[in-house]
Amino acid sequence: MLEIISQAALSLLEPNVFIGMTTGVLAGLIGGAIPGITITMTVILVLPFTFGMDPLQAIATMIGVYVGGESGTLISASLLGIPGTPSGIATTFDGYPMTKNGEPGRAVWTGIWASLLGGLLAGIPLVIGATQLAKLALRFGPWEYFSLFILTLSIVGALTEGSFIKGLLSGALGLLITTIGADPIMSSPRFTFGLEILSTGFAFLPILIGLFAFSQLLVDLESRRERAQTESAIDFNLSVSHLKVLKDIVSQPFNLVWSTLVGFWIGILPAVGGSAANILAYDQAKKFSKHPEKFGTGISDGIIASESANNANVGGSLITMMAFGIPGDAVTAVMLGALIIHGIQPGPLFATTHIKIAYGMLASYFIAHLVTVVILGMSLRAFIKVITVPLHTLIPVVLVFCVIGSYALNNIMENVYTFLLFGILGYLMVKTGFPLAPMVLGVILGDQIEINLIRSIMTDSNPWLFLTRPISGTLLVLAVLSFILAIYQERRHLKKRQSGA
Amino acid sequence: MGRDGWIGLGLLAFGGWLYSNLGKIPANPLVPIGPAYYPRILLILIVLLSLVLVIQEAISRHRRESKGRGSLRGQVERYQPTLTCFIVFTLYVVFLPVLGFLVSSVLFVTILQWLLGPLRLRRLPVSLLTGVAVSLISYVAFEIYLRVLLPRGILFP
Repeated sequence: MLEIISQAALSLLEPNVFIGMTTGVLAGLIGGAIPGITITMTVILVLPFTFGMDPLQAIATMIGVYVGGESGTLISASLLGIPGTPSGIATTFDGYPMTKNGEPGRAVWTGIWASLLGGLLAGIPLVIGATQLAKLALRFGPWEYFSLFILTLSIVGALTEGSFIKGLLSGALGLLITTIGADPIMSSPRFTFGLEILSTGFAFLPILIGLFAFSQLLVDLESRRERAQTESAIDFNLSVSHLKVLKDIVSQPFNLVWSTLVGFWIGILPAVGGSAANILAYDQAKKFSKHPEKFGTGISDGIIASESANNANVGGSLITMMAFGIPGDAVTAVMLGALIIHGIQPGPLFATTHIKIAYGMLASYFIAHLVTVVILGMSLRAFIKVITVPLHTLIPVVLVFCVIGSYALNNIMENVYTFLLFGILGYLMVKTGFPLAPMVLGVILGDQIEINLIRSIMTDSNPWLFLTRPISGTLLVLAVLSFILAIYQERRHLKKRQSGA
Repeated sequence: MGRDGWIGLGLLAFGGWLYSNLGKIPANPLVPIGPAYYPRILLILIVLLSLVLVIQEAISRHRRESKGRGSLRGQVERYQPTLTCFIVFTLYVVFLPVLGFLVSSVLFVTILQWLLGPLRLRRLPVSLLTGVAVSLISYVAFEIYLRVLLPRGILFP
C-alpha cells in the first residue's frame, strides 16, 4: 500500500497537479484566515476552477484548500482573537492571550507546528482505515446501505445544535428535495407540476452553495464588526525559535495524540466538523491537564489541542467519504459533488476502481500539510495584511464566484436560480433555528437511500430483513439509540432551562 | 402560538398538499412498488414531525421571555445590509442572462461593494476598479484559460 501511496505522491509532484494543490493551499490559508469566510466557502470559490481540471488535479486542489483552511484560521485566531473560521474558536482561548503576553510568534507557530503534527498523525488511521472500511463496505447489500444512511441521518439530526425535531425535519426535507424531478429507478416525473425548471430536479451543488455560502454571507452581514485591532496586527514581531516550539509540542505527547484522535473521530461523524473538534479537544486537554487553571492564560497546551484536532478532523472527514461516499462535513460534501461531476462516485469500490485518485487523495493530504508550513514560513507576514481586508469588499467577489460555480456546472441559468432559491431558504432556516447540515446530507443521500430501499424490497419483499441481517440490524439499532440519546439530551436541556428560568 | 408552531403548521399544510398530489405520479409496470412509494414515506414522516413541532409548541409550559427587539432604527440598521445585498444580488441574477457576465458582474461588484461600505462618493472609483478587475480576471481565467463558458447575454451573443 505504501508503494502505491509513494507512486501517487510522485504523480502529485507533476507540475500541473502540484501547482493546483499549492494554489489550493494558498487559497485555503487566505480564506481560513479572513474572519467571515469559512473553509466551505473557500472550497466553493475554488470549485469552478476545478471543472476544467483532470480529477486528480481537482481533488488535490480541494484537499489543499481544506488543509490550508484549517491552518489559516489560526492566524487571525492567535493574533486578533477572532477565529477565521469556527475551527479556530478554541485557538483564541490561549493563542490570543499568548499574543497579548508579548509572544505572537510563539502563538502562531505553536499552532502551525501542532497543525502539521496532528494532521500527519491522523494520516495513519486515514490510510489504514480508508482501505479497511472499504473492505467492510464490500460486504454491504442494499439493506445495509439503507440502514447506514438512516444511521448517518439520525446522527446528524441528533448532533446538530438546536431542536432535535427541527434537525430531523431539515433532513427529511432534504430527502424530499431529491424526489423532485425524475425518479432514480425508472425516471418517472414526480412533483414537477408541469414546470420545465422542475423536470430534471435540482442540481446538488447549487443547493449546497446556496445553503452554505449565500445564507452565511447574509448572516455575516448582520453581525459584522469592524476589526479595529487589525491595524496594530501589522506591527507584530513574529520571530521565534522553532526548535523551542517543537520541543514544547513534543513534550506533550498525550495532549497531541489524544487531541488528534478526538479530532479524527469527530471528523468521521457526519456533518459535525472542525467547529466541534477544536472545542472538544480543548475541553479534553483541560480536563486531563495537571494545571487546568492555567488554560485561557496563554499556555501552549490549549493551542496544541485545538490545532492538532482541527487538522486531524480533515483525515476523519475524508475516511467516510472515501469508504462509503458519505461526506464527513460540508467541505467533503463539496468535494463529493466535484468528484461526481468528474464521473467518480466514492464508495467501497472507489479505492479499487480509481486507484490513482484514491491514493492521490491520501498522498495529497500529507503533501498539503507540508506545503502549508512552507508557505506560512515564507509569507506569514503577508497573511497578516490579508486578514485586514474588510468583509464588504469580499462579499460581492464571493457571490460572483458562487454564481460562476453554479452556472458552469451545466451552463444553464436554472442552476443560478436554484442557488438563489436555496440561499434564501438557508437564510430563513438559520434565522428560525433549523440546522442546515441535515438538509444538505438529505440532499446528498436522498437518491441513494431510495435506490437501496427499492432494490432491497424488489430483491426480497420481507421487510424484517432490515433488522435480521446482522450488519443492517446493528446499524438500525444504533440509529434508534442515537434518536433516544438526542431526545434524552433535549429533555435534559429543557429541564435545565426551566430550572434556570 | 409561537413561531415554531406556525412553521409546523405551514409544513403540515405543505406536506398534506404534496401527499394529495401523489396520485398524479404515473405508475410504472416494471417497478411494482412505484415511484410514489418513497415520497409517500417521506411525506408521512414530514407530516408527523411537523405535528410534533406544533404539539411541542402548544403544550410547552416554558414560555421564553420575549427578547427586546430594540428600536425600529436599530432593526433597520441591523437588517439594512442584508436586505441591500439580497436586492442587488437578485437584480444581478435577473440581468445576468440579459447583459451577460462581464457587464452585469462589473455593475454588481461595483454597486454592492459601494453600498455595503461607508457611503462616500470617493469610494466609488475604487469599487469600480475592483468590479472591473474581478470581472475581467474571472472572465479570462474561466473563458480563455479553463474553457468554462459564462453567460453571454444579448450584448455578447
